[in-house]
Amino acid sequence: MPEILVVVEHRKQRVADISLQMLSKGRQLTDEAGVGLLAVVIGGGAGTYAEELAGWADGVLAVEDPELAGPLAEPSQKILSAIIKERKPLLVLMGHSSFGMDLAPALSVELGVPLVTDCTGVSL
Amino acid sequence: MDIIACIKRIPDTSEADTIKIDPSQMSIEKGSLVFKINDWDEYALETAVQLKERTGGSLIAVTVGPKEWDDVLRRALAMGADRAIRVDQDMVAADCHSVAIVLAALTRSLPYDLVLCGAQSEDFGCGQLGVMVAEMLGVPHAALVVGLQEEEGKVRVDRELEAGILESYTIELPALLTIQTGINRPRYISLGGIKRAMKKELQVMSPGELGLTAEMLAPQVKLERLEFPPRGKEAVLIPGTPEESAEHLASILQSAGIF
Repeated sequence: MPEILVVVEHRKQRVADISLQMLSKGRQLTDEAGVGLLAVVIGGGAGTYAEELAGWADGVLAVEDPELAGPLAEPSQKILSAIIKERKPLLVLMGHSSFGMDLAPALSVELGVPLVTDCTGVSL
Repeated sequence: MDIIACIKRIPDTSEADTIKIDPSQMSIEKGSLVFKINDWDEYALETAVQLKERTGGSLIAVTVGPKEWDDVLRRALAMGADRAIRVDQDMVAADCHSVAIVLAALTRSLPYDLVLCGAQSEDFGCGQLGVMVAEMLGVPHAALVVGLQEEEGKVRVDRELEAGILESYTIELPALLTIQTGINRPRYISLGGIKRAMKKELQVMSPGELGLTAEMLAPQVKLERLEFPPRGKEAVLIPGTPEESAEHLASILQSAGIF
């Protein structure tokens, strides 16, 4: 099933506000397009967010890695590129945050897909 | 340490009375604007000059743009770059990805331990370029760097996260960093300093000399139009003298339960 993928950020045992905003926007887009919404969360304790995220998305992929206390760009890039290559989402949403700015441009070059940053509106 | 600093020329809109979009809707009206080096890039340059002063090696300032962009390279030379290279390419229709391809190709042709870019530009503010170049070069990177200390064969960097948190890493060289404003205080450059720097080498190259074709530089993202953001519907203008409007504002805040 085609889907929109939201990369969820968390810090200090909390899902970042930007991720909740993206899930809300993602829900609106997926409802309009009749596709699925997948939340991806990476890092130590990623699984603890699964239940909260399941309230927002159709599916949650939690990649547990105890070595990754916080979101680090380089290992996250490896994990996300593998997920994106396999699932081929229509669209990937990431926060234009310190994490997103460190990761999204590299991921877009690696995958050969276009990147638009600092978005304040999205439509399909 | 051999360093490459990537810089961009941007219109200085901070002093402009108004910003107007030109009839093509693809750009702002630039006729009355002055141009300068992108703020973030100036901090990256200062970081590069300080590193060079501490460690020796070479510093090359590079840009991708038309002839008018030479003025920011002259400034970089005056700040302390040994030489400068401009890849002559009109970037009007380009996106960050195309510029990154040019910069990556140029960087591969030069000696470097460290590439420094500004974290973003003042005009388009994409914040993509440096990290794209790093990925194309296959070197490690850190974005939004606010502190840097060199060690043998590596650099220790601090990154700025949200809510004032700092993250520290050690990165092996060669590497690329994107520099955040405030990391240092860029030195003052006099007109005389820029004139003296005229003796330094400013090389101009074509994308073709780097083995790049127009097809390779086709943008992935195309600008459709520029427009001002819609005016907010929630904004309330409070008329009257300062005293009257202050009183009105206080009553609004009071009725909202703020105080």
